[in-house]
Amino acid sequence: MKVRGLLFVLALFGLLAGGGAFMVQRPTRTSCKPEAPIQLEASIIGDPISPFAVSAKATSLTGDEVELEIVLPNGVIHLGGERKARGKKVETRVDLRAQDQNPRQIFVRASISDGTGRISKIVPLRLFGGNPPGPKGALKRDSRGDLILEGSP
Amino acid sequence: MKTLIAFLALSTAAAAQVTVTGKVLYEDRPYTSSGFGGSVNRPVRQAKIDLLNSALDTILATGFTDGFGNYSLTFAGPDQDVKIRVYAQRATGKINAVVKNLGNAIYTVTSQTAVNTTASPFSDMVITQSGGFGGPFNIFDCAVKHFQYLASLEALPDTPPLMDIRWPVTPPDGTSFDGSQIHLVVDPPDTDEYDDDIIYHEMGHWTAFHYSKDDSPGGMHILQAPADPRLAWSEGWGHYWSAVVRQWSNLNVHVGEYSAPQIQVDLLSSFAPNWFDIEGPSFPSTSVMATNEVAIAAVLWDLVDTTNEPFDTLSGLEPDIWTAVSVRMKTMSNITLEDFHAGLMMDRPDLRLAVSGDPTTNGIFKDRLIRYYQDPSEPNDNPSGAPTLLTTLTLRTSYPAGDQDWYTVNAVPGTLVVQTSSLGDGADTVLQLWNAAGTMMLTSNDNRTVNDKSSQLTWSVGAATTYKVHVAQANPGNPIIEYGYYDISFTTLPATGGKKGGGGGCGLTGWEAVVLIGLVRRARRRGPQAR
Repeated sequence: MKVRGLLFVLALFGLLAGGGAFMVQRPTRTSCKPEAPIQLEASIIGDPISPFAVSAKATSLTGDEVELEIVLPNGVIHLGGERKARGKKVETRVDLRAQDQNPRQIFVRASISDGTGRISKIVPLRLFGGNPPGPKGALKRDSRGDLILEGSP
Repeated sequence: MKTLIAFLALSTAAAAQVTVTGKVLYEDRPYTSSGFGGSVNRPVRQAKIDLLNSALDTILATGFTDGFGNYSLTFAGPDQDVKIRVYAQRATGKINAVVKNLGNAIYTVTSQTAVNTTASPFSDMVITQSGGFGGPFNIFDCAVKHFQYLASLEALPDTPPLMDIRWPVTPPDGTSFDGSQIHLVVDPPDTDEYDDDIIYHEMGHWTAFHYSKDDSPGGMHILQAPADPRLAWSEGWGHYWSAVVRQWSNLNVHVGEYSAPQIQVDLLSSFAPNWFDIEGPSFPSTSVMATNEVAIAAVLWDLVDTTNEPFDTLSGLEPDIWTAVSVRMKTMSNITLEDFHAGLMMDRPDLRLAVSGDPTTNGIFKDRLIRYYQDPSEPNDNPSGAPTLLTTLTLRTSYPAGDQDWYTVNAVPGTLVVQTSSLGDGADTVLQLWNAAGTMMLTSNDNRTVNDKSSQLTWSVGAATTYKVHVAQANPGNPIIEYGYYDISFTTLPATGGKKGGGGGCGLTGWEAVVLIGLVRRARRRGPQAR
């Protein structure tokens, strides 16, 4: 019994130690892509199971006008409110309803475009845990022992 | 008799040799700055390919697709059912690239059904986008183009340094090169696998790491704002590399594949993409100086592009750029555009005016307000030859490296205020006031405020006096910026106390400050009586 108890403690310790190792944070890699000089906030208001809303606020940090847009996927119905707004500091809110509870993403986009270029910031809002699908394929080792992700054409 | 037996044996062996041929294509998604167009099938070029038995446990032959996606694989027979497996990988032939997922698995595509070798040539294998592997094979093709372009500049060994590309990476990580791997992020609607411009940009960082030097501190950067000059160089180089690889590809791989190599597009699925132009350049009022990545990309591009303007009379200088970057800059430190310019001038001093311009002539760099030339006050490296500063002198440069600028100021009684302002190209001035002979420094100032690297000093002048003013760039021991430019001006404010001497950033010497504090304390102690 004592041995079992000791083993349990050791196993628990091992799990915790392993967990600790997994929890060590490695530094986040900063994106090489330029940031848009825009402050953008967007959020879902309410529970998407019933009619809900999305509010968005964008502020230009350069003095250029920002175009703010709430982009809806198929299956999300626009009930009211302006989906687009333009200005140096803009705010909008739309009322929405999801047709079902399939995972989806609403994108809130704020752009600065002066005719010579466009740079934007996008905030994705996930409905019902909508995550991007990962690449398909089977994980295996080839005859050389190399790890491969094997897909079909 | 022996000869006959050997001949028969060889003939039998030769007859047993089986060769299968075919072609592998992948679904590409051409784009412009308006977004994706329709998809097209392009060859999977230079990729490792295996011929496998139908059980997939024996490699019968291995080889590589050619420049048109064709393969020809031979094994010792007999004819049998086989499958083809193509890898997003190659490690020979002056190409060394692999596309993997974050779990370290190489992307491969294997034919679904076994086909008998007698059916060779096999029908085309097309790797589709919807199958999930078109993207990785597009990334691989970008790597092939990158290595082929690199080989046009540099004598590559059969196996160059490895380019290890990972896709998809998820946030919070960003698309980047970390000195080991290129990470391409999927953050919908931005998924990167068909973002050739972005992919080549990261390959530009890989190139700087392996063949030049990159001292970028990294971090967030904004196209329309000045950045650390090391970061600006690194990103500007990435944009340039992306443009020249695409330009080369247009001429040598798929004619007209990239409609405008000078436009840098970041695709966002079905949304209108982000984009900017390094030829115009975009955001022209902020795309200036050696602290801006678009300005840096623009000047590099102007050195190679065939579209010339009055300020841009050069084209086709890719080999010279490559020599500066891969030979000259390798031994330099704190890599910025200055180092590139210095490296280029070592081998092509004949191009100095066309590249840099000068105070009266426009040039490629000057057009982007990058001022790598001597200003009209030169020579003024010593107090003895210091020109007289009347009110304001604009666009004085600290060029070449280590340049010391001296000016003469004839001050009238009052408070003399001397300042540098409108700093350019990342300048960080140090301003000093000296006596007329230039033998004794009276006061100095480095930074006007914590966030302002211009300088300002004041000095109380009792009677009309001549001074010398000295300007140089800060941190002479370990400079990031050695050139830079500034305006310099002086004014005299009416005397407040009629006192002579003094100086320093706030106009008080140490003993004056002590006396002032003492007076204030005395006044406080006295309270209302002091009124």
